[in-house]
This record gives sequence, structure tokens and C-alpha cells, in this order.
Amino acid sequence: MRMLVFFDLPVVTRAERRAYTVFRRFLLNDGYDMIQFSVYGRILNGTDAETKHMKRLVDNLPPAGSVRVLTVTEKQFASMKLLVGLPLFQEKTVNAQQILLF
Amino acid sequence: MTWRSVMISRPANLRRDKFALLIEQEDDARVPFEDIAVIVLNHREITLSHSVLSACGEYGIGLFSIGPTHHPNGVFLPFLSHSRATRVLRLQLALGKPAAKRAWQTIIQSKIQNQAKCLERLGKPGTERLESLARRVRSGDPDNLESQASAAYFRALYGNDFHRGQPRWINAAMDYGYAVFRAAIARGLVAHGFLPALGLFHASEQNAFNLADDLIEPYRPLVDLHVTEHSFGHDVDDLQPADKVALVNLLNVDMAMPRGTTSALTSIEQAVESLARLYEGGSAELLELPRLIGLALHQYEC
Repeated sequence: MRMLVFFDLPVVTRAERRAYTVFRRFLLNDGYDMIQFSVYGRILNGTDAETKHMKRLVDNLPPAGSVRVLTVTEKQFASMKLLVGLPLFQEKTVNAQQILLF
Repeated sequence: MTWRSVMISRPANLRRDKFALLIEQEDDARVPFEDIAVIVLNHREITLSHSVLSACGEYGIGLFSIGPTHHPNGVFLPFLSHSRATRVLRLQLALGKPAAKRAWQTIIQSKIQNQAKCLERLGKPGTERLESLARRVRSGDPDNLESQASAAYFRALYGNDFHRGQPRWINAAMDYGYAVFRAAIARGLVAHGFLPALGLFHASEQNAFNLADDLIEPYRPLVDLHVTEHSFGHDVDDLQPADKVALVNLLNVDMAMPRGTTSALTSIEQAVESLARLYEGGSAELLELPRLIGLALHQYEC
């Protein structure tokens, strides 16, 4: 399954920009991939992993702004339609397969 | 929870990008170290940095290198990564002969049963004979029923003129599959604080993986089953890249464990945990060993 994180963060003051950078860096370091600007997704292997990453996410939230999270099954994620644009290389190769080939 | 195997079969440059493995080819890709169980370096033109090796040690990832024959010839394992490594080592050294022999009996019974299951799945004769041999294995296998069973089993699988030493596709594929499992088991052992050189039955002074060679036995028939099902129509004796991928992917095949069906990779973890309980003073009945159920890939919930 996939955890999708959507966020809108204020970037007016220096402190806000800092909070935004720290949050975005946390997402990348915790294994999320950028699906679009402000939309990040992480592959999870089962509900235990969901609990773990959800806790980490909650522990690293920015102080202000709007952050949403939605967990969908792999099937639901795969049924997403790309209306304009193409999937990223990362998205195509690092998928839910247990063996990754490069 | 680690669940991914990463196999690199084209020239690549591996780097550490914070908490992820960065694979640089024509396009770059990132895989979080946290998710990776094994990395197979399956090409000569792969470069990697010390920080990647260090991350493998940090996250308990088994990294396999490939020799000139394209077989796995080395494995990089974390060094004393377990918090109680010395304690486990003392337990390993203190394990009594009777307990080791009973554990070996359980392992061999499980291996022969899996061999029987393999023959049954392929519709070959000899299942009953192997099952009867499995029932007759005594503590420490003093009658060497293991080799009797194997001889009958390989004859049933590949005919009377088959030898393990022949340069044939079947042998190359089996060697490759066994090497993958051996290294995956060695990784599991090290993660639980075991010194893989100290075996239950295997005791070669020149072998650093005696314990892995003990524990691999019930897994061999899984490789055999796959190899036999795919053994037809090869004009060359060498393994092709796709064959190797399929063999590494056997780590993701479902096997039946006492606590439920799980992938071979997870079943190795459970088997190693049960082995740890044996060393803690438990009995051989506590050993949790896999039962072969077929070649269906493990499905994660989605």
C-alpha cells in the first residue's frame, strides 16, 4: 500500500521557509518520493509499516499550514489515471515488487 | 521491516544519498536502505563507495558480489550487529552434542519431507520412499539417510546419469540458487548475533558458513523444484540474466511455516529466531522450519 502526503505550507517568513525545508527533507529521508510538488508518496509493506511511518510523520509535522495523509492500497494507487504528463522513472522502477532490477 | 531485494545487472554507480541507496544509471533511482534486505551486484562494472558499504552494515543488508563465473562468491555482512553478540557466541560454543544432534535430525527430516513434496509436485515417483526415510531419521542422522534420500531424489528428478559435478544448466542454476539462499541465511544469522562459522553438524575448518550450511538444507528442494520446472529448452549451459533474476526471486516464494504461510525470506528470519531459542536451552521441537508448498510468489496485502 501507499501513504500519500499532501501539504500546503506557508513560506513567507524565514522561519516558515525553514519549517517547510525541514519537513520536506524529513519526507525524502523517510523514503517518500515526490509524486508532484507538495504530493509525496511512500510504499508500505503491511499495516505495521503504516503504523511506524505514520508515527514518524506525526512526530515531524510542521507547526503551521495544512498537511493531509491518505493511505491507499497498491491496486487503488495503480488505478490512478495520468491525464497530462508521464510517470517518473523512479515511479516506474521502484514499484511494489519485492525484487527490483536495475 | 526489510522486504526488498535489489539486483543490479547493468553498469551502475551506487552512492549513499542520506537514508537511501542511490542507483546512478542513465536515470537515477532511490531505494530507502530501511526497506532493503539484500543487494546483488550482478555485473562487473558496478562501482560503490565506502558509505554504501557502511550503510549496508548499519541497516543489516546482505551485499553479494559475483565472481568471474557470475556466481555469488562473496557476501558482505554486518559485523557483530546484534546487541548480545558475545552472549549468543557463548551459547553457541556451549551447545551440547545431544541438542545439536537432535536439531540436525529435525533439519534433515524437514529437508527429506520437502524433497518428497518436490517430487510429488512434479509428478515423479519416489514420494513414499522419501517420506518413509524422513520418518526413520534418528538423532544426528547416524545412518546418513540424508545422502540416501538425496541419491534417490536426484535420480528421480534428473535420471540415472545425472551428477552434481556435470557442467550443465541444471547444476549451474542449482549452484546459483543455493548460493543466494546460503547468503540470505548467513545474513539472518548475523542479524541475530550468531557466528555463522560454528555449525550444528557442519564443522569444516575452512568454511565460514557452517551454520548457514546447516540451516539451508530444508530450502534446497525449493531451488530444485524451480530448476526442474525450468530445465527444458536451454541450448547453452550458462545461466542467462533472466534465469538469475528468477533464482533470486525464489526468496519471495511462499513457504508454510508453523506460524503461517510467509515468503522464504521471512521464513528464514523465523527459522533463525527459532534456532536462537534452541541455543537458549529449548528443545529441537521448537525449531521452525519451512515446508515446501509450491512456487507461488508471496503477495503482500494491497
